[in-house]
Amino acid sequence: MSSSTSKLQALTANIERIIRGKPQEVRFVITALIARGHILLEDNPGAGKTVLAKTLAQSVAEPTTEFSHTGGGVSFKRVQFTPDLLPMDLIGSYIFDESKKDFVFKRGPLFTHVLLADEINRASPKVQSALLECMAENQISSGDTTFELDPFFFTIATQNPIEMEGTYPLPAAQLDRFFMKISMGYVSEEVEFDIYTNYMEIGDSKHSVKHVLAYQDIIHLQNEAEKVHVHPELVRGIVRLVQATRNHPEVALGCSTRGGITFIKCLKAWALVNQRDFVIEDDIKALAQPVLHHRLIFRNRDAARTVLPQLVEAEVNRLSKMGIGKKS
Amino acid sequence: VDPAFLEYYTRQPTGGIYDSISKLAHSLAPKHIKPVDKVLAVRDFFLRRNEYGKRIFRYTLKPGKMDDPNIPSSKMLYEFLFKTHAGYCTYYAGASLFMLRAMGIPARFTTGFATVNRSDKNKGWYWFYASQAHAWTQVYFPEYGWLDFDMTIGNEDQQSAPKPDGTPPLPPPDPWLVLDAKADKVDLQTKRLDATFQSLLYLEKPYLLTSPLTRPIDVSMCRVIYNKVDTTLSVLQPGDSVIIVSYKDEARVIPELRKGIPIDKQVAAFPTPIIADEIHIRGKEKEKKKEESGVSGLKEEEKKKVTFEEIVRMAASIVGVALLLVLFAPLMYLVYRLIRASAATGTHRADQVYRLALYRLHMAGFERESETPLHYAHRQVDPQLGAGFEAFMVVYLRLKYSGQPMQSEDIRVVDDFAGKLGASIRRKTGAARALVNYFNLARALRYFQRPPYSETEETQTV
Repeated sequence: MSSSTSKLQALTANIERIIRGKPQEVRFVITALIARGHILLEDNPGAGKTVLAKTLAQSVAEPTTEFSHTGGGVSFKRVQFTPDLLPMDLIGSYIFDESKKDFVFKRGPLFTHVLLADEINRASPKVQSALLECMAENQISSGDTTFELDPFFFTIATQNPIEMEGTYPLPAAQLDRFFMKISMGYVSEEVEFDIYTNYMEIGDSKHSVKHVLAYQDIIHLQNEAEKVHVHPELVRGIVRLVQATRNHPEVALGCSTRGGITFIKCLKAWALVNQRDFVIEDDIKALAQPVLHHRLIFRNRDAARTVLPQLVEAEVNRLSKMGIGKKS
Repeated sequence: VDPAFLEYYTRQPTGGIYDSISKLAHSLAPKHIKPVDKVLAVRDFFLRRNEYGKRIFRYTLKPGKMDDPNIPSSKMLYEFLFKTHAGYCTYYAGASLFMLRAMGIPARFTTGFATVNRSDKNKGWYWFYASQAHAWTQVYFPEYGWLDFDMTIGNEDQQSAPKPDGTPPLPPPDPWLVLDAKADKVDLQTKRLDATFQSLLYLEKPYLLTSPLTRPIDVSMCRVIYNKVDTTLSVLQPGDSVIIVSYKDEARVIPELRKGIPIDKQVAAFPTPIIADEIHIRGKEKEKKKEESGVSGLKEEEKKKVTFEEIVRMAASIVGVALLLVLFAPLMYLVYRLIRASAATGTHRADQVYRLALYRLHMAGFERESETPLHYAHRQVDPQLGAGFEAFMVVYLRLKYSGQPMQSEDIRVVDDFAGKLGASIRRKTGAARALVNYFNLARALRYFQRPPYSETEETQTV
């Protein structure tokens, strides 16, 4: 517990040297990593999405290490998604080898540990769905061959808001694969002042991000997160919350069972990131928005803003009134 | 008139259903009235409405059961008149034929086509369709001969369809005379109505007469509307307040108003009777008022009989409830306090410390909104009170959710917080103010009103 705490603190501090004034968002990203999930960052251009993704990737990656299944190191690849990108650009393709007189498979950028999928919604749906398999199944199929990916395959995707021009909205099934969808938002006045005065140093350190965690550390943290205790009453509360989203009249598509499982995984990781080995009611409140909101389809804009917080608040309030060892 | 002719056209089979049809017919109209009123009574019978304002009879092309051959027969006529009340033109025509003959009116059954589609190419030609086949009744009046009477009622569920060439249905014409009147006398036989009115609209201009005027109104052609649904004239009672509307140009026999002559004189010179096209019944306002005042008068008498003893008892209970309301908030505090005192050790004590603390903090003015207790302690309570609430919450949440046993260190944190809270509240707000705060009923109610979880949603999920 204490060793994982110090490791997590080192990782957080490392990222916060570059991403200023966004401690919550940094923790969300780390939570998704520890929960063995993927994360989607959505915001306007220039909010720091790519920098955050890159910094996280570099803090855990060893830039020199080539991708391998044995876990010798952590590799990091970045793909800039554009409308004319094709699935074989990601997966790789068979190329005729003159010397062997045969087709050999040339691996694409998906063969990595940490993948930064930048501006994912600018790519066409067929590329988006190519990403689906490796995110869901941890494997890549090309032709008749299926390649296994490392269990530690982490995608950080960024996307511009849907309303922007030249975007293909991600389908619900693809969105469901992302454990969290967070939005960076603009920083406060003081932080922005700090960024402007120190942008030279921040820019410099961007190129010299320290590599603080090794492959084994991440695997260890992921195993630790699995051991976090979730009280049965909290599980019951999550069941009620998930079912309430399905039965709410303003919600067209409620939370799936996979969404509920993801929520519990993220709660465990979030508790570990917050240096606890048990989940508390505050965690549900903190994670409901990033983990659940993008899985729901609301009937109108008003509902999209108010329904989930109301349901969560009611559930958390109910839990907070429950006594120790009592049933709610 | 030739008696043989009359005999032929009033011949009526007897026995079985025909007797019951005769009985029904005789119940519709008294014997002495004119034949035409008997015919109209039959028409009104088909237009009758139930207590909800819906027509009793309705038009349908499929009156019987699904597998019936659907051929009109005496049995189906009986079903139509007394049971299903649903049928098409043949049923209406057949039923009225037998009813009229039962009343001694010569009548015959006629079939033909109800055509509406004029040919565009050949002027004066019509299109005939099978669906326009129709049946109706003809009635013989010695003075006029055979006259057509179609008793088939329209299909109320169907809105007036747009014309085939797309022209919308005509809007109702503007009324040229509207009277705000009171019905004095209603004669159902002659279809005359005596109405008294003082204010009127003439060609869309309002006028007020200096004194009320009584005029006979001809209501033989008019629609009667009560509570926005069509009804028959028999609903109208003397004393009803009505609005009489005339809009058809054929009925417009009243001259234009001229300037310079007093309005009263001109209205008095209106030809009699005034022909009405619509009557809207507004009901007996005055009678209703009378009833209401009568009831309340009785109540007042009863009230006077209430004895002094009962007044004292009522006052005592009011004071008791008021006292309970005032003391509600502090009593709740004492209840929490007592429960906490009784909870000697362990997690149970931590629970009660938590509950009491939340209530006390709320009553001291630290109202928790939508935050979780931990966040509330961190953001709102500790910066102002410094009683170690957050430290307590951390311990409390661990006890609640981690499943780990309580340690001696935890007991110390809980006791520390329980001891310090009251003192820090008093220090912050002042002892007197802290006490007064407990009597804030509105605040206490807010604490208990906080919805634990909306019950409806829970029942949905179960």
